[in-house]
Amino acid sequence: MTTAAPERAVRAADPRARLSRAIENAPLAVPLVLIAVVLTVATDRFLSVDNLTNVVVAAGIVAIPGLAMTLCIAMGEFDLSVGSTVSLTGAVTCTWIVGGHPAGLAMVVGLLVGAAVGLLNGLVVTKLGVTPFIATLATLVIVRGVSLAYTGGRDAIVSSSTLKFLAAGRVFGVPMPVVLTAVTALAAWWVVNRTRFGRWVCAIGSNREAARMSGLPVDRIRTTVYVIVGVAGGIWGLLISSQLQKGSGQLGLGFELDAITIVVIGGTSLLGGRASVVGTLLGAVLIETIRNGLNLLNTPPAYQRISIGLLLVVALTIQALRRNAPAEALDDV
Amino acid sequence: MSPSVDTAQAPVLEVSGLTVEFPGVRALDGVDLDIRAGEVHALVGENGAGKSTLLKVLGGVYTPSAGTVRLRGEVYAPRRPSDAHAHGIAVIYQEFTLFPDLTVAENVYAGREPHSRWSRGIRYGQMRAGCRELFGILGVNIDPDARVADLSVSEQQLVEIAKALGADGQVIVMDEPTAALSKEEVERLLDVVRRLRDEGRSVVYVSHRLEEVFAVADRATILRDGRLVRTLAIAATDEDKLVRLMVGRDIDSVFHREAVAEGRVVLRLDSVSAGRHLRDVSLDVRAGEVVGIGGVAGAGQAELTQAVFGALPLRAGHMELDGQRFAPSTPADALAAGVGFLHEDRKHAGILPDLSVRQNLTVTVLDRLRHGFARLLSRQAEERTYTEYGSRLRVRATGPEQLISELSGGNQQKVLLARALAPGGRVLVLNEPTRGVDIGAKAEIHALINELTAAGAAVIMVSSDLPELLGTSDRVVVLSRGRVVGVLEGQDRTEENVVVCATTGRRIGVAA
Repeated sequence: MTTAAPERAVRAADPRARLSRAIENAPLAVPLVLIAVVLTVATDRFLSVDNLTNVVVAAGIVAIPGLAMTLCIAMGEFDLSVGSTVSLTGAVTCTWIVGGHPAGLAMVVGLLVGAAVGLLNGLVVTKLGVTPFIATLATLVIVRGVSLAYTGGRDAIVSSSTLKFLAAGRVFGVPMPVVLTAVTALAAWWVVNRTRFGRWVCAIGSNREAARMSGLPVDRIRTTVYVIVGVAGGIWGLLISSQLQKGSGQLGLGFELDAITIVVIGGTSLLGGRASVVGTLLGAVLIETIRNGLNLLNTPPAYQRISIGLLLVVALTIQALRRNAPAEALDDV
Repeated sequence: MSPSVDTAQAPVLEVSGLTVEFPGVRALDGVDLDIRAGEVHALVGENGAGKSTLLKVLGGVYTPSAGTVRLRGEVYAPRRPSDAHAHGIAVIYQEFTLFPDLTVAENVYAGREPHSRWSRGIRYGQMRAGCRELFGILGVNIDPDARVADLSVSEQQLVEIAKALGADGQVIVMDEPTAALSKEEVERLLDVVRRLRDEGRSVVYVSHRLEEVFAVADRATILRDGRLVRTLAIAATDEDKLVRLMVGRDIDSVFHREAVAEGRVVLRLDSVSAGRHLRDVSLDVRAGEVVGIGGVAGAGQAELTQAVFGALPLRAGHMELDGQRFAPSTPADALAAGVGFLHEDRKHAGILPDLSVRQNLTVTVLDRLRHGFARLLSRQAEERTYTEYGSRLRVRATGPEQLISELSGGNQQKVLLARALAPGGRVLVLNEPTRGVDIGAKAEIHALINELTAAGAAVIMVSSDLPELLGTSDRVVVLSRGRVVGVLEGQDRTEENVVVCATTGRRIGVAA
């Protein structure tokens, strides 16, 4: 074989690879556009600046933990405890503010609490060898309990302009949550596609034993990912508390499913090995558009749950079909 | 098809014009084949020749895009694996389809458990008795109540065969059945195959090991690049001819180990004990030397290599690398010290299936491929690494971005070898470097080992393939139950000595 041969092969493969990358997110973009068109026609408020801003802000807020969850799912694991982290972070931050501490300090403490929850998950999963499902389910219950105990069941109502700025402020006219999401998304894309850490996460998700036998510090990477999810859950908690101007043991119930849903709808396989940052962003926009549309059409909240559940089934079916079609057929040819 | 083949006997299974296409690949292209009753029909060819695809069509896994299969004259078009079972065609794949947590009897009768008509309770007694009868036919003794996960690989293989027999398989297809077996176990398996033939069943036997093909097969069909090359009677051919037909070119199938001047000791093991088996192993590996590790499966080879790679802690003893204490506590330590490692289990501990060829190759050396202030991965550096190692090993892929899971087994193995070389290749620990690899790739891998040792690498190679073990190493260390029982050099380096040491534990070249 001449040395030129591999290069020729690279060029030959490229258009196909580029095309498949281009259509990868089509299953999301198509329904998104369709729904947007339907809502534009069916309602007179959908296409207003205010409404679209609401959609984008809501999508941005759920996308931040979703992007962290993308890493976790690409690693072949997931974290059920983020909803409880939302509650505890908000409760701690608001209680500290109520107690007279500076809001900035209170927010940092809140994020540290999120990181601590992530570290706890990571250590239980790696050191004790508990499966992520059970470990993070236990954390979900424990952290929720801690949050309720910490607040004594009462809401910690705050009026802090610093905290409020997080959800309601604008930078050069752009809502803060959108700024935060953009930064997080760029960072996530960067980590997944350009860093050794991102490669290692996908390697572990693809074949953990092979990753171990390739000398990867598997447990350290897994723990780090749980800490990242914990911090992202903390940011989510600060945003929610900022929106509502309160911390409470009741906030964030069921939020973990939202975070996981947008990742899965975005096309990141639950089996691990691959991460789609753009997919997660689109997934967040799709879900929030549907929610918004159903609100505009005055549909009861119960139907929102049903439609998002159905969407999840459709997304997983598409994943299953993709997995079973060409890739498996080419195995061992 | 060769005109020399006797066509008087009616075929049991008749394949004509079989074509299987996948997106971008034609895995089989108009293949004709006939299998007779009471014959062992070998299917040979390099990796990617289409053997596995053909088996999967017979087993109802793939649907052909053109061509027909006839079973006793009637069209046989299985749509799913259960159709194959119903027609008495049993395919035993390389990756077993056993349930590891169930017992032997439960596996043999999986899906057709005898049960009481009234209570629907499973008749375990009947299953056990049936198993004993089947194992009697096979001439082996396996406990029907043993958990399959507790059996050796060869015993699992026999359970698969018993399952096929129990389902009244008339055509039994075996894909690389001896890939993981020791020499003795191979002999036993070949006896079983002969028994099956003598009972009037047909066996389709796929193997890379030509000596087995010549030992057991009546006819052989050669495939190359998805096409039929020829079907011929084994009695009318020889190994050289078959190899030529397989690869389409002349290949020296004899291994050449080029003698290398003795270098200094690079790696030293001093009374090392590790894992459940490995006891008190001392070993020197010199620069430019290949030390072959032999023994029956599970004699401690895996423990030995994993200990060197830092994947298994030592219970006793110590190691030295270049005269310095070497105590890797993780594979990362070993890699940093320049030890490359190839695992014997390609699928479960080797490939990263969702990642590209490039990403699979560079995963151990990403540190070296980062640049700039932010220590980001350099795509160019990664592609250079791919070009360097990928072309050296002649990896056949559409490019660095192809998923490794889309490559044939032999090409996956080459990528994993490239991964083992990339850390620098001063010390290489290779487990079964050519397992499941075709003969052309095998010769390339052996040439590469020569090349590396000529450049001063120290190599530890575990192989269950005796000609390879003897042909490619300078010294053979034989393990038995975790201890070194033979150190074979010069005149002592014979197949007989390896087998004697491995199976009887008798010592050669080692003080008792």
